[in-house]
Amino acid sequence: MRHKEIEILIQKSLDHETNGEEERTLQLHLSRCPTCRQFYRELMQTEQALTGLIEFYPRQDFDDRVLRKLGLARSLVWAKAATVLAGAWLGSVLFLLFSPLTEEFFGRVLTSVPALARSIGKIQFAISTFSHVLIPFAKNFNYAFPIIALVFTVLLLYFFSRTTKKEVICRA
Amino acid sequence: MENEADLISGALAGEEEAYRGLLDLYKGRVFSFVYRIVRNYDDAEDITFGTFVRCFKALSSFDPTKSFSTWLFSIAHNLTVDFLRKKKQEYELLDERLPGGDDLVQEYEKNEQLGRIEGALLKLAPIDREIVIFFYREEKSYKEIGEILNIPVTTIKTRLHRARKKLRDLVREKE
Repeated sequence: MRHKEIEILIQKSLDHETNGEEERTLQLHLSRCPTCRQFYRELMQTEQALTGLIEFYPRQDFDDRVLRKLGLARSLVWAKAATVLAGAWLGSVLFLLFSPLTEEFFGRVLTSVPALARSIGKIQFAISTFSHVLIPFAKNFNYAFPIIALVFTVLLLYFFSRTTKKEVICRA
Repeated sequence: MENEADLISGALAGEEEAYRGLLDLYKGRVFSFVYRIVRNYDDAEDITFGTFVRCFKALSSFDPTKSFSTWLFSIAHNLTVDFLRKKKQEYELLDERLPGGDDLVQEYEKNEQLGRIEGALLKLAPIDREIVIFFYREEKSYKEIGEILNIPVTTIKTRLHRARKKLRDLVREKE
């Protein structure tokens, strides 16, 4: 068999398209012909190198950019907004509980703006009526309520920080 | 949710996690394929971005009895060819641009053996590079490659045989 014919057979073998008879003919020739054997070995080495090509990746924010383009990356925005809101809530609870200036400050604001004082008075009246009608135990208000609120705030912050972390891990 | 079919159904139902799952599965493969053809990180990322956006927008028209990756790669191929045309680069002829200049390639070529084959690949025409990558890296059959590139199987075989021999010669030259 000529080298050219063997080369065709080698290509066929690399395509996994040789039958048993063709494979035997090829192997017999390769065992006798060093030139074709060398050619076959080099083609095999090239194949191995090609299968070992490494994978490249786009930038880390790629997924988010694609999902944003499709209008699908809403949860991350909501998680961030919720974290900010929960933080603001916690901050205001702490401020109201511990600031010595609070009463004086609000007193000044209310006396300087009578319309605001009247509005807040109405709101207080509405809340108070609502509480007395629907929540009898509101009469027995004590410091347990702000403490419970504080605990819920911390739990809420923990939950949203976990959600945000998960999103970041997904992106990385 | 890791199964491709589940991810596709999830994405069709609008689940964000399913879209992320499909991106995790394919972004590296599509990006690597495009990058090896256009040889520029930013251009490759733009084309990959366009591929996924187009794919996800048209997901409802995908035939689930067919291969998702073949469909996805055919979109990537079409966008890559459009890009090369816009840049007035030859697709079926030898790419005459000089290799290098890109940090990724330089980093990659620190590995001598991989660098040799990567350098040799660069000296093939883009169409032959695509065939070689689909055959060896993506393990696609001739029929699937034919579907992606929209050319007859006989042409693909002829081109692959020629490319295989040329790559062997080029790697030998570099040794």
